[in-house]
Amino acid sequence: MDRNVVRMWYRTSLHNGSGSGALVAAFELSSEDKNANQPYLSVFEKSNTTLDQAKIFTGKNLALSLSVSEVRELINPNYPDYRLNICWYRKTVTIGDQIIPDERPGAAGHCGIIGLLRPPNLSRTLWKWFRVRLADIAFSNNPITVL
Amino acid sequence: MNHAIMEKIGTETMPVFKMPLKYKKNEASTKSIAPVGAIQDISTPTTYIKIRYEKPEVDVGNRLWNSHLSSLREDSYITAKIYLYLLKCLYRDRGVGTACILDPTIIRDALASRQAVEIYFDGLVTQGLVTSEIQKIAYRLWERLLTRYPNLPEPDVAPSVDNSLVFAFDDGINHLEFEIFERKPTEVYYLKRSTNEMWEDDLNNFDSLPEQLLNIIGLFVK
Repeated sequence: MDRNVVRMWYRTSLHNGSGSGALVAAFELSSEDKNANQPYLSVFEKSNTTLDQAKIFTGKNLALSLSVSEVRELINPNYPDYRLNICWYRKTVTIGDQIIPDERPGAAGHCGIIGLLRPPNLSRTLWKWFRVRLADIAFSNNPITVL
Repeated sequence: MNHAIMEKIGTETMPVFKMPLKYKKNEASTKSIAPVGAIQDISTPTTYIKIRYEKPEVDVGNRLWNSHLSSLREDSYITAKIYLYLLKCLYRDRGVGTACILDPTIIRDALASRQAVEIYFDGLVTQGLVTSEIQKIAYRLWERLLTRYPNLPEPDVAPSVDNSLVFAFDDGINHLEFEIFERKPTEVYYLKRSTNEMWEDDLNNFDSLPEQLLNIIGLFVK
């Protein structure tokens, strides 16, 4: 069964062009993500997390849908051996100096896209290709504004 | 490690790659092109000002107005805006309808699209998504691009991580993005989807844009 995940981002794009445009911004790892032991981009699996719950978790109101197979099948023709993957990651919350599992409804759907940290041997040009293609997938799946 | 991997999703088997790109029809592209005369006023402000400069001097003798125009040296959107304002004032004073000189709809749309970018940048700062420094850099870039290509459609813009900003032009085939950072050069990336042709550069300032970049931007000019 192919699962679908959603990446939440800001619905602040100036306009919708003919292509994915600035949606690439949603697929960039933050400095914090990059420095994590296992860098990944947070997404939510849609059968376990509703869009409303994803909005509450992230504070962002634009839902960008991606199917897991589409993400895994992305092949950069100039770097064919490199693939992205999606794994479940337990969602946690920090309370004081403690990190505990997030038990809120919908937290079970938390996943991460792995492979978005640029490998040392991959040029920035080739690496940015992945971001554009992820944004293309999200754009083709019609981004949804969560009111 | 804060997060434990619990299980992997689905199968590792890779089906045939298929990415259904269903690009939306660009609404902007369906708009009728403005009358040549009107849009040229905004497109080439300096040239146009020079042309118009002589006529009022003869017809009206409004030397104050002429002195205002002659002091405008910067070929930019601001110049065009000031020029249009002065032109409208001039013809209003003379009792001539401005509509017969410049289509007000064209002026309003042209100014609105540019003001929309300005307002949008302001909004991002207000929301705390980008810093005012990023806003300044982005607006400087936008102004610079407009100076070269006055008919360039407004960009697609979105806040990115770490308070950076992505500024993009995308027609479904060509993708051009500027990733603007506060403390490092702006990264430019171009992808032609049909051929996977790619190009990349770093911009330390916008005074002198690479010729290849200007050629790529030209792809998006209506």
